[in-house]
Amino acid sequence: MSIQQFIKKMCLKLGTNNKAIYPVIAIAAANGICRPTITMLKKGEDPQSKKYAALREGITEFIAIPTYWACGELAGKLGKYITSKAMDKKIAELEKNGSKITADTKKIMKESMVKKGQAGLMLIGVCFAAGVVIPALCSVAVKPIMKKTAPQKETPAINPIQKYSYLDNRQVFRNISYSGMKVGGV
Amino acid sequence: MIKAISNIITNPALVNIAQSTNGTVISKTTVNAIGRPGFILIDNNISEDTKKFAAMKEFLYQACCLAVYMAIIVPIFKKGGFKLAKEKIFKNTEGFQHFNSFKEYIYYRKLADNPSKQNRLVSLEKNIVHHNCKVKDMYNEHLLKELCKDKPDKFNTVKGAVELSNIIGSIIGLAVIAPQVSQKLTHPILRVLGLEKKEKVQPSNTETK
Repeated sequence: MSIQQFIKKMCLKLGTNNKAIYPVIAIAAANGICRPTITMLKKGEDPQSKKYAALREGITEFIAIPTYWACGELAGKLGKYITSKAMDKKIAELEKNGSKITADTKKIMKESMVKKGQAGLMLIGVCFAAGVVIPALCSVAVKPIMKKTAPQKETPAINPIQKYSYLDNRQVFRNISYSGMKVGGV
Repeated sequence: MIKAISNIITNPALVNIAQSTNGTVISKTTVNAIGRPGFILIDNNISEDTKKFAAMKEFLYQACCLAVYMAIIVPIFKKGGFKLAKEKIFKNTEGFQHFNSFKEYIYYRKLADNPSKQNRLVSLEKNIVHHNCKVKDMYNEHLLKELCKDKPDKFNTVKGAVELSNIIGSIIGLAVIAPQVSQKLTHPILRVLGLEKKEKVQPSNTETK
């Protein structure tokens, strides 16, 4: 399949049924690659801090991808269930009032409502994932993962002369006088 | 209860947002801008100052994402995507030949989505105030014939092409441009708000004389 054919197929799929989870998953995947890369490319920062920040960003996006998918799909299924039940009730009420609805019309009415319900609740599911589930999961899961995987910050051995920089400039006490005339020495 | 929930989730405005990439990305980023700083603020393991700083930084990042997306990505990729698909990929076939812009297509799609043929025909006879013509004057014969059918062709490929372009735009905007822009804007704003202090220039080796 050529690239053009692939693009045409994708366009048809997106035009027929564009789910709310597609763009958010695509963004999370791209963020998972780009944000850590951009962080690592920053100049003038401590390499250990950069590694830590990049790993943290990567883990956050790695958690986000399956969460968006799960929350969106679950919400979509719930939306399908709710709207089909509501439509059954509505059709029963209409029939009770004397309206005659053919089987085909019933099917069309139900399908149209179910599609709308699925889409609407999927968006709510995605927003719920973005605003509540992912931050909550991250605040619980990121710290333990970071402890296991993050590069441990090594405390550099301090050179006593660096620590006490004034030692550089101080006259060091010597017990032998190097000035003046030597007496009885070699 | 089920009926009320069903009415909310099948609300046409909500469904329109859910089925468009732009609507989804804008709502998700807005929720992120509220939710993420909120979760930082309720974390009890960090000090008050750190909480304020981190929450504000996250809020500014998300606000920056939203601004970049709405200002640059939405207008460029919506128009550009339609033009590119019409001229280069589909070469004026598969429905693209009937429309000159995405706006024209969206008007047609709204009519085609209406399940009642009667309502569609009534809508075609309505006047468009700002164009000083009737709705039916906007479409060619082929499209008018389609709208008179029980199940009109919705030319899904046209919508799909623009959605694909919007997805690519959101990836570029939110994953590449927004982090760079926010990096340049966040720290000066935090300094203005008094949440970040200017780094003090450390005196070079103290000279002892």
